Amino acid sequence: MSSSETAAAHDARALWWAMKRDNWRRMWYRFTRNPLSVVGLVIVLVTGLAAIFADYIAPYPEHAGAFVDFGNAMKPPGGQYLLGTDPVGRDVLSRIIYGYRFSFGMAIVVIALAAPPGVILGLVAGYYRGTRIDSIIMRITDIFLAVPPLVLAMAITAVLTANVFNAMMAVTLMWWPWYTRLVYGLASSLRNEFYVQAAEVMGASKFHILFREILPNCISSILTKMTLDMGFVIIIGSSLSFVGLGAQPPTPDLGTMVADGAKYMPDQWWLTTFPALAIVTVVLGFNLLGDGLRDVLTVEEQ
Amino acid sequence: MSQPLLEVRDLSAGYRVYKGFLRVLDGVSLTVRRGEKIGLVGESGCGKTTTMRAILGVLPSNGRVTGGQVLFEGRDLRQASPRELQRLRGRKLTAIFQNPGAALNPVFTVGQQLDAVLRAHHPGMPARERRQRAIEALASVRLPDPERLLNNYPVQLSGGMKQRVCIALALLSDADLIIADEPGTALDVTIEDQVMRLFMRLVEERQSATIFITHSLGVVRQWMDRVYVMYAGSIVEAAPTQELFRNPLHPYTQALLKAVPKLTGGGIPKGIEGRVPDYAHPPAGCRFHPRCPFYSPDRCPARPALVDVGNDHLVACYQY
Amino acid sequence: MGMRSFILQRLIQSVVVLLGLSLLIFVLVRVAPGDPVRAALGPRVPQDVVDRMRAEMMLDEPYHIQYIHWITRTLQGDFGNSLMTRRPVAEDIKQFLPATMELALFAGVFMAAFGILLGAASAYRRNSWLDNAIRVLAYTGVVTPAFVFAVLFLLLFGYYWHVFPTAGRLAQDMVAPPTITGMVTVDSLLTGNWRAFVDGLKHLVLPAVALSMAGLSQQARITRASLVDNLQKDFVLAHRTYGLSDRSIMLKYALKPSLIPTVSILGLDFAALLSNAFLVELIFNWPGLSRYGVNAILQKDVNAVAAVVMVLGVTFVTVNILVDIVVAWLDPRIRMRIANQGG
Repeated sequence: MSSSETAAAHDARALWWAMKRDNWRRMWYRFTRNPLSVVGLVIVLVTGLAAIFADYIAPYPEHAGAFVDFGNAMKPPGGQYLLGTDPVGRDVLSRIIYGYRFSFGMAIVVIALAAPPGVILGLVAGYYRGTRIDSIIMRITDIFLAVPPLVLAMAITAVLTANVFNAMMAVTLMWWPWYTRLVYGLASSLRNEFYVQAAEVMGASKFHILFREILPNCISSILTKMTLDMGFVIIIGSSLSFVGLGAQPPTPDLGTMVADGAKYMPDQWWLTTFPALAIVTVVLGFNLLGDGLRDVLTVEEQ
Repeated sequence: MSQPLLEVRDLSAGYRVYKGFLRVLDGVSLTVRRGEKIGLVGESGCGKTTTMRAILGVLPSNGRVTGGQVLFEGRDLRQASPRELQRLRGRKLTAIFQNPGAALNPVFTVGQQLDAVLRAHHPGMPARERRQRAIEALASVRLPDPERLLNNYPVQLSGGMKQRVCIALALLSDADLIIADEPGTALDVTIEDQVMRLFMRLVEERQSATIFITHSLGVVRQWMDRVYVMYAGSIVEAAPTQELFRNPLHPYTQALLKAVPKLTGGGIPKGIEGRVPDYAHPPAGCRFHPRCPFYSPDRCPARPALVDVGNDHLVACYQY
Repeated sequence: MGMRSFILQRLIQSVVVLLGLSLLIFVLVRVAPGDPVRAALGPRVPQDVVDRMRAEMMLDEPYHIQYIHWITRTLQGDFGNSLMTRRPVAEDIKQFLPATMELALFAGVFMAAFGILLGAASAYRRNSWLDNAIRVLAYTGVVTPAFVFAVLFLLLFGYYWHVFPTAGRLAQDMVAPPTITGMVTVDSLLTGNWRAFVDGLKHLVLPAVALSMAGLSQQARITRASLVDNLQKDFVLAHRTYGLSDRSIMLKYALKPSLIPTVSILGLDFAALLSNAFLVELIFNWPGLSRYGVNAILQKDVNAVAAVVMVLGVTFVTVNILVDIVVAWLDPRIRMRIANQGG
């Protein structure tokens, strides 16, 4: 390439980036128009950061594990222990923060594992809609979707021992079909778009068509779903822990904390109430954020 | 002279939107006599549909009528109670819409929708008679096999058939005034012509008056008795059809007529400079002045009123 | 006609799906590491007893033979014996299923009816305080897990304000009605036992409402969105123009097309209901199938687990078929598409 050509290519790329940045700035502006979306973003950021930096933020990091201090057990909120202590003397606030780390970690793992295969299957099935491979993929998807979600997760946990890892695998296994369904619908309508047909005519490889033409146009829906799913996986994860199928003691998990604390109501109300509020807050955050993303991204597509 | 059927006096209306209030209609005045066929022309966005909806009282939830009167048979519809309005609508005053596919409820059969209107206006009528009337209505719009059609859903009908069904719906009761909002726009040209003929014939038969909203001057010239030209929310000119085409007075009308391609000579038609104003911040005074070749600030201070220049010809322009 | 072949098509699909599900369950169950019999019976039971049980459960045969045996026996209603209760699983199911059905039924009906009601009220009084209140409530319902609601209701309405009972299906001192359907409320109605009916109903309220909150919220949101969308459509304008009363538009002509997306989601929400049932059953000590299932899981009672999953799977599939039929009935456009394809 001659020097003038490289310069031109450079300029083109610079221009492209400038346009992208401008695009993002516009999206951000539109995003901030809805105060609820911003609230959601703030919640997610705060809880997320708390989860990552739990060791530094939690007032009593050592309480996250097996720690006993009967002298300070069952203390009501206030003073040294902002949200009170549990029956063995652990600080509720610290455990909640570590519980967030746990929930976030699990949700991220589940979605990171469930989304890619789900999306790929959906792309393939949608693009090849009407053929055998479509039927096969969608039948399998239907089978997985035929069982009420938690039931399948529980059954899997039953087969293996009840612990976090298995719970995550179980939830992943029941989660991927939703991505397939979502992308299937999108891909099968997008494959009739002109740019796809143009790519076909030009002899582009199937890989290129699926991943460079169709997928980018599904990204916004997928991202929105992933954000909303974070909240739902957290709900499911805590539900499993609530019945003892997920995290095992002494691991701090919000669901387990609610379960354990329920026995002590209404006197030691803080034991259940705060973990329950913690769950609701973080799920609320993801929902608000997801809704905000949806509003911004779908308008973009128009 | 007998009382006009409909008299709209200085009607103003608009929509509340995010950035403020869109003052679409700015003092619309028109008169419809019994049996008269009025054409309402204007470019897209000039407020024709808003006028229709304001007259009928069916503005959307963010729409407001801000001033003026709508006198139907002498009674001001703006003062009427919702029940009165509901009773008028579909009986004395009815309408046909632009997109027949959208105007029909997709989950109810044709028969059910016709029946609903009949039931609303004739509560005592027995079911068999309603069915009979429905069949007659479908037959009057030249739809084949009306009995079977009663059980069909809109999704099963073609565009032209749907429009005929809409006409049948509108004509179920002998309305005195039928407002038609560009009924041919969504159809192929040949179908549009058929539907036009049908509609005009029915209007003639029932001796109803009609306000026919369109942006097609050809239709107006062929079928209408009188024409109202609308621009940016007010009437700029009104005259009997022949008179208007022979002697257009308002600069907008003149430009409009020049913009229509003619079969006999005339050269290439010229478009009109500029575009429809932003209703959130409309031009002060005469709304046409930014595009008007005759404009001068001292001559055209405020919004011009409609003046009668003889021959039943009204125009709103400072030249006259 | 199109409808009949549509139903047939769905039935065949469902059978295929259920077969696949059974395979899935079978694989899961048999792949379990360790010896389930040994695990259930404990380490002190002599080996020959364990071996006998294993032979009885055919655990040493090749897998496909096991599957065929298993599927044939399942279809005959023989789910094997529960390692927990030491009796046929079928018996257990017969005992516990009606309780869950009763709960799911009440919760489902409540969820659908109230969801649609609230969603409609919200749409018709758009942007009023009622609308905003309902939207907030619906949002809360979506982000709060069912067990939080259950615990909340239990504590608030059970312990704090003694409005509703907190455990079981009937008060201790109440005479239970004879088992006709197994559902306390239905049976007591059928036998004219009014007091038992009322009492059974009171016991149902808290768990059913807690269970339904998530689905109710979804239904309300979707109904609202759908109504708001449809109310702006041209056909509603046409209805108003032709003089149809606002009330008939509200209750019928605008509502019917808006119900289509709502009912479509009903199947999913019902699935969520069945899933979350175990949470509620555990908290309220409701003797239902899900609670039985959870215990089976915790004790690795493979026969019971497999049976419970199959039963729930069949229920769910059935509900889905019903939902599809209702949606097709509501939306003639779908019916036309079906008629054109199958016919």
